[in-house]
Amino acid sequence: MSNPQTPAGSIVLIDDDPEQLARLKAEVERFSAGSGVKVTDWKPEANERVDETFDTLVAGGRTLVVTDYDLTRGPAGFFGTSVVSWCQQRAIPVGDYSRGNKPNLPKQPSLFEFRFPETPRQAGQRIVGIHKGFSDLRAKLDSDPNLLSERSPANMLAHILHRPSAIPQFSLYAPQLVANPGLVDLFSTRKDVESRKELAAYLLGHLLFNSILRYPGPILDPNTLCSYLACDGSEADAVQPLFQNARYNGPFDSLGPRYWREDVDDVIESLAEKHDVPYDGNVAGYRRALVERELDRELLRYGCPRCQGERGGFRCPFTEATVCELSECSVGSSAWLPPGADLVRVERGYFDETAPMMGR
Amino acid sequence: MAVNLQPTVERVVNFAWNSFLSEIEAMGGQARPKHPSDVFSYGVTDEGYLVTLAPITLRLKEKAAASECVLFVTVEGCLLFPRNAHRNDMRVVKYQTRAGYFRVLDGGKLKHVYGVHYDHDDDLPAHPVYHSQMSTMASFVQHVNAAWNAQYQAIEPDLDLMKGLLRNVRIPTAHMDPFSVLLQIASDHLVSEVSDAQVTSAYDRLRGALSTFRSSRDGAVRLDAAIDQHCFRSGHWYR
Repeated sequence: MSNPQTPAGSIVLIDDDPEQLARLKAEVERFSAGSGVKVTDWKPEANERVDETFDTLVAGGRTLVVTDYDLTRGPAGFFGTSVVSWCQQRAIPVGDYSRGNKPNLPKQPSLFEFRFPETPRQAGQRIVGIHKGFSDLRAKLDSDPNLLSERSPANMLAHILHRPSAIPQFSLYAPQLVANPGLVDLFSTRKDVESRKELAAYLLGHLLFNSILRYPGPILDPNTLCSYLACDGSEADAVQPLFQNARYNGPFDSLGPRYWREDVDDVIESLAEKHDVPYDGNVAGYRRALVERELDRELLRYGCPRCQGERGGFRCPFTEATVCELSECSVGSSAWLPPGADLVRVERGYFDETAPMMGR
Repeated sequence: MAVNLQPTVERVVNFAWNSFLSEIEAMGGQARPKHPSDVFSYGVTDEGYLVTLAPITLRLKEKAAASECVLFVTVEGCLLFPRNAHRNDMRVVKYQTRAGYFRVLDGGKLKHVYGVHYDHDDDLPAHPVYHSQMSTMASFVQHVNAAWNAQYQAIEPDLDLMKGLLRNVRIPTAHMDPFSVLLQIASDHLVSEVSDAQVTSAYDRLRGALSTFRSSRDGAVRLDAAIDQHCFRSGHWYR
């Protein structure tokens, strides 16, 4: 095993199944070809000092660790959760996957954890995309050290993305950072500039990918764009070309198209200037009507037994359904959602099933 | 063809609200509900674009230097953007705002310590164009309970300090639409000369964010005289 340190960083893959490990490594290497990223595989052995090996593997920094949830063929007492915990204590980005024990892993990871598909091909692309996102953030921090003296993570992120107007809304995502209490210790002990950059990239990457992008507000994925336009998700390919000027370009953009809400609104406003469409109080339906006029065809309504897909505007991050603001359809202010995520609401049926734990 | 400004109205309101939420928390206050779609609804009238603010309740310190949040303030209202507004210069022509203040007492009761409504009237004689009237908002305790998952009882008569006040005292005011009132509340209770730099800079940002739309001259042409004469005595508020 070689030291994985390279200028482009490294990806460490951990699995107790050598065949699976080899397949995953091949996929990760394929997707990262030419990037200079070092890909290291590790099958923990029964008699191995796993803590020492782990420290060696991650010593170079700029590392993403990916582990199988089930490492029971390796040393006794060493699990995927051990790896995740070690990484979180050291502020190293980490993700896991599970084949045999898939039901044991929640579908949604915690804020400081990534969840990868179990098939190597799908996982490979996603792993490389996540690593690249952190590398992009780190490169921004390297090129502009003044970012470290910004007032808050929200400010740092907004300046990295050249979106100062997003600061207030990004700020409404930030409180979730307390989800990793180990960060407080790290920030109080690792004060040199290099460590600060590493910590900042760690924090910003998770804030961006696992909170801001996962729970849409200022930035929309294609499904949320369709919800925003009150149309079925199958219309994503049809509507996205209208919003190319709103395309998000930034960390994690290799993992699929996303769009800035304020730029989407710019397009909507320009359509409102172009087409004389009356507004009848249905906010998202009005947006859809403008897009329909522009495309010169009707858009497929999303499936909803309450309004037959006429209203929409929001997306439930738990059921993936398009919902509207009516209280019989969804709940907006839930303790499970970051306050900045103003394009998501919890579908009423799901909320009622999970209340009172969902909170308000 | 008249440009439909509905999307612009939503954008302006959402930006102001998200900025308010962000900065009010940096200043030590909290507001609920938070989700814009729980707070704002939009309609169109012959006069323009009507935005209605459902009751929101802030939990605040009584003074900036205090350590405990013992005050609930509920605000509701509406504001109207005229049809002839411009995308890059959105202005409010009419509004109504109601605010009820409640102090938490030992023993888990609320005292209604201030209630007011702010209004605009450019038609009725002897009405200041922008004015406030003190009045009881004791019923707002239901909004406090709903927003904060609390179970305060209805305000007892001797704890309603606003009960029985003379209703037709109309005090000339500035243009106090719901967002103006939110700024006033933040100013009164969350910032003072003892505030640290974090609070004062959040306050500066809040003032900036809430200034992204303005009031419309069309709703108060009579105030031209105040500008022309460099005189801000209340006489100009009347006609």
